[in-house]
Amino acid sequence: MKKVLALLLLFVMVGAGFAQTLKLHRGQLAVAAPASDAGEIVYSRAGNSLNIFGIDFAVAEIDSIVVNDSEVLSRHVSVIYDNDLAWVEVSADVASLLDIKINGANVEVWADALLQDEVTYELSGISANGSFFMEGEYKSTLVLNNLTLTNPAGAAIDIANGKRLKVELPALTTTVLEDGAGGTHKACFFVNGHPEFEGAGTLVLRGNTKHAFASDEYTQIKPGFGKIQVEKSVGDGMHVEQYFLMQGGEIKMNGVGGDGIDVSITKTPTDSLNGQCIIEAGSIDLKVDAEDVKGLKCDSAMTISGGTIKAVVSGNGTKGISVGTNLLIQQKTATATLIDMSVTGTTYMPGDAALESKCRGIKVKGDFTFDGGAIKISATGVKSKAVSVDGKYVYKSGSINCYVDANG
Amino acid sequence: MKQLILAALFFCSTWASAQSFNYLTVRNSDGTERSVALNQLKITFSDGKMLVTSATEAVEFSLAELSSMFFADEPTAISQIDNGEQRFRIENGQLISTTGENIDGVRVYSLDGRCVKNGQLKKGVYLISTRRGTLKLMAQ
Repeated sequence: MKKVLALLLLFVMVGAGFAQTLKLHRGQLAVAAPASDAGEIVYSRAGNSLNIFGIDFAVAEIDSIVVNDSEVLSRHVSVIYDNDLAWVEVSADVASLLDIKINGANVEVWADALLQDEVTYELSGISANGSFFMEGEYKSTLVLNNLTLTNPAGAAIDIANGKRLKVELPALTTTVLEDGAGGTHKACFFVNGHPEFEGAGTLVLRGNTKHAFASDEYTQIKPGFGKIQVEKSVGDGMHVEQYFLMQGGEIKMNGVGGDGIDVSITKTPTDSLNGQCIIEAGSIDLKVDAEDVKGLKCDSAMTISGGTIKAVVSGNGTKGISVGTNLLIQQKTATATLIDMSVTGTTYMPGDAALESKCRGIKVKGDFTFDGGAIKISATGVKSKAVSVDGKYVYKSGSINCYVDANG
Repeated sequence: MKQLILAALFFCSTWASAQSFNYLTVRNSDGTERSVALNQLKITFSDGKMLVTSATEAVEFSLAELSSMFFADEPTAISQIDNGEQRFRIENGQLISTTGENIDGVRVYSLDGRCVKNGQLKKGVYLISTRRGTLKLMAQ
């Protein structure tokens, strides 16, 4: 039986080696498909045009057509950055629905509204003068595979597509994104829709104009995720609209001029979980040293059911955690809930009725319910407080080492 | 174990459906065909010509005369119109052997693959299927 199985597996492996791919190269763009899908390649206009994969190509624009043993994935776009150039390969099954513009190492993909299949965009390579832009009306996947991309003139990655974007960071890979300073763009890595991060790799962000990362809809960090490390951000480290859901992974920030993670309410009040921050697992490590900023902030409710939030809150008037309405800290997931902060900042603009802001470990504008986990806050800054609650404080369970200043 | 075997069979069937080819066959508008081995195949275009190169040969085609090309398992047996070989000719719609060979087993096909009855061959190009291979013949 084992011999039969071994033979079958051998057959599979040998078969896998016989993939035949046809690639049509046109400048920095290649269209690829299995040779078996090519069918009859028909010439027209006295040989000046050929139709392949259902697409007409002017022969004068074709650099070469090759057949080799590489494999092509369906509904796949590969972008390989090579210093001042980007080489793009698109699978033929979606090529006619993607308008791809390449200028040096700046790549734009405009997906046709007729596209109703999920396309995977895989970015890799290195460029100090490149970018990636994608617009479309259907969900997609973005794989960041050991990419090092800097765009001195704008965002490194700008996803204008407003649908779900799966952002995949393969294990053992590190992707580094950096934008240019003094621009008008919103973030070094901007997503108009709702990104869902997964994969065990690492993403390093350096935001030189405004935010390091921003999404105009919710952002989800899925279980098993690797790491997001913000090394620099003029504005917020992560600026998220609608809600922020963290189910695993690690977020580490320093050098942030704005808030660490800022979750805002969208313009559509009926959006689900609008303005909320939900932490179920993973770890957040924040160094909050700018003046009058927040480490982890949301406009609406915050629920921490598991995971670790560590913050060094040293800027004047800063808050480690700032909650727009109610805060619930509980132990509901397999990951231990731990809030660990050092608050050393003092008051920002003391005496200024409009601008004065005091340093707090946790600031809650609504009620605070504590029902499990551990809170360890050391507040040593002048006039600083560990926990300040505008509403009621309800203690149910858990360990806390500091005083909670509340109104009920 | 059964599940593993079933899974392996599934993968085998998946790969079996992915056909592999050995040749690229280029067809001209006059019906002639020429096959080039796929080994390291590369096609380029310049000066009104298509250059097909492989590990073993390089073949040039006039773009103006190209009709289509396709991948094939076997090379085409039709290298050129059989005018030079002079084994057959077509007169008054009738296939005739010029060498005296028996043509009882010879079949005549149109370029779109239809079998054509000998004696009703109009002006055009035909595929002549013989025991020694397939030839292309033009009825003037």
